[in-house]
Amino acid sequence: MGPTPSSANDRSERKKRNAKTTIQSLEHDTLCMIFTLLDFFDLVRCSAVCKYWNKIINKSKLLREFYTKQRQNSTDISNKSTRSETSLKTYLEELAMEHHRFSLQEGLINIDQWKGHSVGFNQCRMKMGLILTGKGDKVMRLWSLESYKCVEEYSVPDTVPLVDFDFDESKIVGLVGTRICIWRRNGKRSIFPSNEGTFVKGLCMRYNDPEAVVGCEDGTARLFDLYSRKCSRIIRMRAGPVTCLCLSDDQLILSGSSLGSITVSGISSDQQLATLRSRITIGGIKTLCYNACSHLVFAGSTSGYTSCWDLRTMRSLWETRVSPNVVYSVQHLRSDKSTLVVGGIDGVLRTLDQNTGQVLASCVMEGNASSTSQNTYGATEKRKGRRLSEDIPIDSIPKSARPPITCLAVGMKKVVTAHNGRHIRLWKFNS
Amino acid sequence: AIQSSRFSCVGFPLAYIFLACKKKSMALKLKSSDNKIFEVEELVAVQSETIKSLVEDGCANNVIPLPNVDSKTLELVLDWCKNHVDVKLDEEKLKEYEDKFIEVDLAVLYDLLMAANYLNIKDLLNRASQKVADMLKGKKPEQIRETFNIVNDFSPEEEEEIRKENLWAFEE
Repeated sequence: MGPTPSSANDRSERKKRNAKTTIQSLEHDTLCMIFTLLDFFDLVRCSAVCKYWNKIINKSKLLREFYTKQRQNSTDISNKSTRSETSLKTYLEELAMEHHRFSLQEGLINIDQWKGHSVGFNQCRMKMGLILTGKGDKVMRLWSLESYKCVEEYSVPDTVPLVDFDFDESKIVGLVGTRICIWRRNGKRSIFPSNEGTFVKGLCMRYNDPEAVVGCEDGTARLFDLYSRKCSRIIRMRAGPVTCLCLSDDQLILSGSSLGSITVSGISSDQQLATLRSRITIGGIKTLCYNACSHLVFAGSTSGYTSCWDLRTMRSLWETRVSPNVVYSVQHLRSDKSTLVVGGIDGVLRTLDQNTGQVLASCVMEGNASSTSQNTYGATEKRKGRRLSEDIPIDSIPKSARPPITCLAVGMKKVVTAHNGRHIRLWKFNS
Repeated sequence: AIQSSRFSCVGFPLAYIFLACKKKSMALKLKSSDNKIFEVEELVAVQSETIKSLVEDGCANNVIPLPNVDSKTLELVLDWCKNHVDVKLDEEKLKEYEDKFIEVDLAVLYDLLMAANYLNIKDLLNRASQKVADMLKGKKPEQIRETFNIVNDFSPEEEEEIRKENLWAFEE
C-alpha cells in the first residue's frame, strides 16, 4: 500500500503521502475491529452508509454474533439452529424491541424539553427523526430529533382552526376547518382546496396515500382523494360524532365515537363490517391505534380506560382503567408487539403490556414542570424522570409536576409528549 | 504466541536470547516512509509486536525500514510508546494522556490506526478504534457519511431496501 523505501524519494509518491488519509484507506481488519465495538443498532445503521461497509458488516459474523450470544442466554435453544438470513433480521428486530421494552419498563429517564410554540399546542407526531408539533398555534413546526432545532415551519390560515394533522417524507396533511390541506415539504407551495371540502365539521383525520379519512360531527367518516380532493365516499357510522380514527394497512377504517362505540368499516364499501364492543361502559373513545404486526386495536377513553381488541376475531382482549381521568393518547412503536404508551389528563406517562393491559411503568417528571415557562427559544432544558411505585396515589403528586398529556408519539426508547403548553418534552429511556 | 514460538524454535541458540535480552537498553534506528531516521530505545520500540519480532529474529541490527509509516505519524506513535513503557505510571495520568493524545484530526486518526495496525501496537489500535467507534455511535447513516466524508454509492432503491429491512434501526 505505502511506498517502499526505495521509491519513497519519488516525487509523485511523496505527493500521494501528503494527500489526506480517509476512512476508506483503512484496512478491512481495522474497520472490522471498529465495528466490533458497536452495538447492533449502530452496526445496522453503519451497514447503510456505503456498499463497502455493507459488505464488510454482512460478511462478518458481527450481527450473527449478537444473535448467537442471545440464543445462548435464552432457554429454548432447540429447533432454532437453522435460521436463515431473513430470520436473523427478524431476530435482530425482536432484540431491538426487547431493548425498547426494557428501557421503557426499567430504564433511567432523561427528559429534554424546549419551548416549541409561543402559545399552547396540543398535538405531536414523531417519525424519521423528526417531530411535528401544532394545533392551538398558527403554525406547525417540524423539529430535528437530533438538535431540537426547528427545521421547517408551516403556517395555518388565520381564520380557520387546525383540527388534525400528520406528515410523511414529502408532505404535511392537515384538516383545517372543514378542508384537507397539503403542505409540500420541499417547496413553499401549499394546496388549499377552494370549496371542495366537507361542509360538516370534521373532528379528526388520518391519511394513507392517496386516501384521507375525516371523522365528522354528524357521525360519518368521509373518504377523500388527496389529489383530486374529491369526497369519494361517505360512511355512516352507527352512533355519535366520530372523535378518532385509525387506518389499518389492509384498507380498514376504525372509528371511535363520543358515545363509546368503535366501528370497523372497509375503505371500499359503505357498510360497516363490525363493531368492537366493550363489556363495561368505558366512556367516549378519545384515541385509537392499530398494531399491524399483532392485529390488535387499542383505544383510550374519556373515563380513563385503555382497551384492546383483536381485529381478527373482533373480540375484546382486555380493559384496564389506568386513570380516573381522560386518556388522550395511546401509541406504540410501529413493530413493537409488547408495549403500549398511554397518556392523559392526569399527566402520568404509563407503559402497558399490549397483551395483558397490565401497567408496567408509570412516570412523571422530577420537580416542577411549569417553572420554566419563561424559557426562550432554542434553550433545551435537561430534566430527570421519576418512576412511580404502584401504590402511590396520583393525587399526592402536585399537578404542576404532571401537566396533562394531550398527545404523545413513541420512538425507539423515547416518547415525545405535548401538554397544551408551549413546551415540547422528549422522554429518553436509557437501557 | 510469539513467546512460545521463540522457545519452541528448534535449534535456536539460547545464548542468542540472552544476547537479545542484554541489548534492552540499546537504541534502535527506525526509518519512516519519508526517510527520516528515529533513534529510539529498544524498550520503547518493542511495544510494536512487529518490531519486537524483528528484534527477536535478529533483523534489527541496522536501520529498520517502516515503509508504511510517515515521520509525522511515527513521531506520534513513538510518543505513545514512550508513555506506555513505564507500566508503573499511575492509571489516571495515563488515561489523561491517552485522552489528550487521541484528540486529533480524522486524517491523523486514520494514519494512527493504520500505523498501529501495521506495527501491531494493541493498546494504540484499541484506543484509536474506540475513538472512531464513539464517533459512529448513535448516528444516522447520513450523519456518518457527513462526518467521515463517505460517498453514498447506493441507489435510492437499494438504500430504501436496507431501511425497510431494518426499520427499527432507522425510525426514531
